[in-house]
Amino acid sequence: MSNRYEPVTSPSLILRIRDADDSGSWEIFATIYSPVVRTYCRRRGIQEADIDDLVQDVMTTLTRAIRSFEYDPARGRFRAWFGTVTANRVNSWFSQRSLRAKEVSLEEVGGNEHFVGSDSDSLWDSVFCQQVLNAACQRIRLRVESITWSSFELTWLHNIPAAEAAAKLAIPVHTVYVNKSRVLKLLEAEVRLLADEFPVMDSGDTRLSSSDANS
Amino acid sequence: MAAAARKCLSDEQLQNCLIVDREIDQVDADHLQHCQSCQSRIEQLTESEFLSEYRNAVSGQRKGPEFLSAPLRPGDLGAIDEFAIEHVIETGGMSIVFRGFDTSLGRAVAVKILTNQHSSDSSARFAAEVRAVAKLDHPQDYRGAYRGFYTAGQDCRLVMMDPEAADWAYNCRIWCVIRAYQALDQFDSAAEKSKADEQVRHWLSHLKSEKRFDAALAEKQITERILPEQMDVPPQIKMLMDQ
Repeated sequence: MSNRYEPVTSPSLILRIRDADDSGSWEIFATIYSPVVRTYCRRRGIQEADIDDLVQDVMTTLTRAIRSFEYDPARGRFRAWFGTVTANRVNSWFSQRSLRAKEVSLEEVGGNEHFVGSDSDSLWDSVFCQQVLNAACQRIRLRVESITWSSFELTWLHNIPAAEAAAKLAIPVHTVYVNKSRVLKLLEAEVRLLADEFPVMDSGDTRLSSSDANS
Repeated sequence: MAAAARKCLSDEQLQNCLIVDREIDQVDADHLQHCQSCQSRIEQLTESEFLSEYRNAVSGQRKGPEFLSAPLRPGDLGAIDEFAIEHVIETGGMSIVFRGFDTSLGRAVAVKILTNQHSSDSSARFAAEVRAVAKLDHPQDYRGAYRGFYTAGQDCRLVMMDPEAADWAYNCRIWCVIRAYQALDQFDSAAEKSKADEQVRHWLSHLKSEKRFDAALAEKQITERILPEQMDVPPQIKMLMDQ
């Protein structure tokens, strides 16, 4: 039972999508990260009709750039690199349209030297975390029993006390904790895989990727 | 077995309670069932430090007001009917303005929700409205794009305007008459059974076709020529027309 769940992405989703034959991994990647780009664009004030093109551009850029990806935990987060690629493409779009972003100025987002995924850009981090966690939850939910998920959902996602959740689900309190703990472990593993919580590019790679994003 | 009589579980015992498929001692289970101290400690043991950032992001995402329904799209704050609510543009003492998206028409909208009943200081309210919507400035022509006006619950009202509008002088004029204009659709159905059907429909048609009609005149026309003919005008429209 405890080994019933097998993550589909091992060791790294980002590494796996470099394999042209691994269409399944690419599909997962696109399913999870297209909404991240889309939501980010929305919050930068871009209209829906333009967002489709931007999402496609960013995903194409990522596909190209990831081919040169080399795993190195010392080089920073995939999130930051991804954010930079996206922000550069969005900034380029704004420049072309001579429009101003509404909630986040271009100056705030910065040029190629600035990582959007840094602490200075809460917008990107917020969007990224929301989308990845939502995606991970959806995937884990399919892999656990209903009562297990409900225990986790009530206590962790909805902040309902365990005793109350137990009464609601008609199970002992300790079962609620066991279920919650189990889902959290699965969720953490899934988020780590989906978010690729290890670094991607060095500064040279980033500049190359940013250039790609602006092209 | 009285829970209070049992000594609280150690951290190691609590950790053991969390092991999947491991049979838990019934005495421990009974104690945990009732002991808030042990519940609090085991709560901490189950938490994931790594996921806290992600959880906080989602918690922030879910801070939408209660009157919003579940998001229509990932990443949205919530929804009202067919309008996806993306994020807060401005919060004031009487209202909240959101950036939204009309999923039925596929266009961006500003969504203003008045959280209190209107005060008598309509000019101040109007200025605040313009300031909020002006934050969505776009250098594009305005094309009669405001979309709707209706109540959302007893204490909230909602206004949609097109954030593409650039001519704010014109936009302000439109805003002045938005209540009257948005009432037109409401009147349409009511007019069907009216004796003044033709006359009402003539005015409705006229008002809808005019993009730069005089706000005061339009309101006057609606108030004097149409409203009296429509006895079943929805209450919110009457209220709005009185303002």
